[in-house]
Amino acid sequence: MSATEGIGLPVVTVVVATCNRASMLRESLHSVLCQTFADIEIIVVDDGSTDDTPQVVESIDDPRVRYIRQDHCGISAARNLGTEHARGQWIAVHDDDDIMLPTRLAEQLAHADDDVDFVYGAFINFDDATGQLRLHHGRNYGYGPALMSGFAPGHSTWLVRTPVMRRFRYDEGVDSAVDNNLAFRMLRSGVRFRHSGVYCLLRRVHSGRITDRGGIGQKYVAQMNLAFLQRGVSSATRDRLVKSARRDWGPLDKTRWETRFLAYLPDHLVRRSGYVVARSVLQEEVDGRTVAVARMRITEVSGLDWWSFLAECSGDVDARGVRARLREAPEIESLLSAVDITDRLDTPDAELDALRALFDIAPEDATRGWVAIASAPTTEWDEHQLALAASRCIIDVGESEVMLGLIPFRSWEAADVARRAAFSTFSNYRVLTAAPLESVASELIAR
Amino acid sequence: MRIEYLQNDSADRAVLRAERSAEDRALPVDTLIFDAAPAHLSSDQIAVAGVLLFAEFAERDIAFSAPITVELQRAIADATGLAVVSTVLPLVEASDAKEPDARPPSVTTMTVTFGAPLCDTTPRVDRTRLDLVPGERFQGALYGVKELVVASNAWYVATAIDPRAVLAAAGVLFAGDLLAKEIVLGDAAQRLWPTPGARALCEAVGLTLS
Repeated sequence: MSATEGIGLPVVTVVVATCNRASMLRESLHSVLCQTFADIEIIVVDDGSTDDTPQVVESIDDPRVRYIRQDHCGISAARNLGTEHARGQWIAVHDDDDIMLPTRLAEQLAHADDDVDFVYGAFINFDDATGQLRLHHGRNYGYGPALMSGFAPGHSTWLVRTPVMRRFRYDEGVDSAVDNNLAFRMLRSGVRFRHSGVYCLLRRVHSGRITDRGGIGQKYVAQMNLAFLQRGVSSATRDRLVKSARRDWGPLDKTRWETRFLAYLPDHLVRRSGYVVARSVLQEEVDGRTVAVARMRITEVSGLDWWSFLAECSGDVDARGVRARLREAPEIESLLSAVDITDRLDTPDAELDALRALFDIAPEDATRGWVAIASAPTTEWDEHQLALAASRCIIDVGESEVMLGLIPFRSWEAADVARRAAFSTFSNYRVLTAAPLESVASELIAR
Repeated sequence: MRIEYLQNDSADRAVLRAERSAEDRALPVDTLIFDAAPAHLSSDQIAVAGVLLFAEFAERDIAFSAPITVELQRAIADATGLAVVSTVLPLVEASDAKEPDARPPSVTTMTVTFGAPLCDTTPRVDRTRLDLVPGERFQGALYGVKELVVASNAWYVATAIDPRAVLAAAGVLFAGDLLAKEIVLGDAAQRLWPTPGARALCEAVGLTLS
């Protein structure tokens, strides 16, 4: 069975173990529910919370969320319980205070082929008070990185085959460095790991994380884990492995990592502007022909809070038009708001994307010679003009809708005449050559 | 499908590994790992262990990283229907095969188990024992005169591949260390096993499988 096949069961089970983190749990779960890959279930294992965690989970109106409660037994037992109840082929681990990036599961599943059992990725720590970011790239996992620094893949980036998680389980005899312990045991047993190169989450750094609370306990278990792994490995082998691991980083594109994901931080840390574009393609019958019509819905994000912004990002959207910056001190923020320099919606990229969409969905023979791109509000197109277009794209911006049409021609003259004959009322009508310039050079010279 | 054995992998462990080609079926597990390497091991034994474990996932042919005898090639083809491909050196006739140094005698009946508790007494006369304990819990090996306890991922492999095949493969690999002429699969149901094919493969390397 491939990574994305299933028969009525979810592909991925996201297991969230929680205890007395109701204030952050809602955000954490919202980020999972807004995944672009929707065929999931979320199992929230309440490890004996005494706050309003049950009410928070109950308030979420989504059938994909399941709630299981146990007496307080610790995070290992909680995660094991989630694993036992999982119905998905893969288990994704997620913490109750982190923000899962919208495309995490979709992108990781693309790497989940028959030759891997354990997919992981990179994550970015963010300081919940200051917004300061720190990237955790992650090495290609093996004995080398493990022996070098006790490295194990960041646990909230894990996507593991459910049977594998069930066979190994978290060791309930340790209460810290539990992920480290499990990863080492899997490594010893031939489980196949792969760094996906995916940015998986924004990991919230605040007082109260288990990692922060672990203290001496955290360190001694980690030390014992590492000692176990080191046994039987000669010092010469260890040196060789460590040397090789030093430069063996996972395949991560670090271009603009400091700013690419700012928009997904909570509202108290960032201010957003720009837009997201949601795309769809439909087939329409026009004069007995089937014409592909793309639709691009553009949504300005500056007026959206974090919850609505993430919901916008949960479909097949392009968020490259989104901008974000860290919030300044209140007095500077009010100054910037008065100038209002970040709220202007500017969509040159959207028009370019619309042009690309027009060419992508047009029949191949329509884009060999010359094409005219006509653009006008949707309501201004008449039946005759619609029938001429080989492909169309609708840009939907709030209350206005603009339609672009691609009309194929064999010559520039015909395209130019058509402007006057059929599109004289359109203010936006451009003639382009889709063919290589060499093939139309003579026509260009004649013009 | 290519079978490879590493006496000392990058982490100082003995590893029997399968590498599939595009037409082979997906391998749920592709390595059998031991914290201690057999001291007496022939390339024929390696090939038999690899076939017992991984041949069911091969679609057309199977290759080995070391040359094997013609007799074994025939036995593999008969048992599996696969074509045997040598990727390293030409296949050699049995008479030309390089004998392992000081090949040990084959006299004992060796029981292979998944981590049975240590017994109060040693195995009986002409009996030996190989215990495979989970490598995710333990590291290393315990060497007795007639017993060997080895940390291994055999338990994990057995969750995806027939446990009897896993025990048999491990038995074939360690047979020389425990002077075995016969392998008995402990704590694994023997109904319908060993198959005639598995028996024939073991007999090709001088072992009786029961």
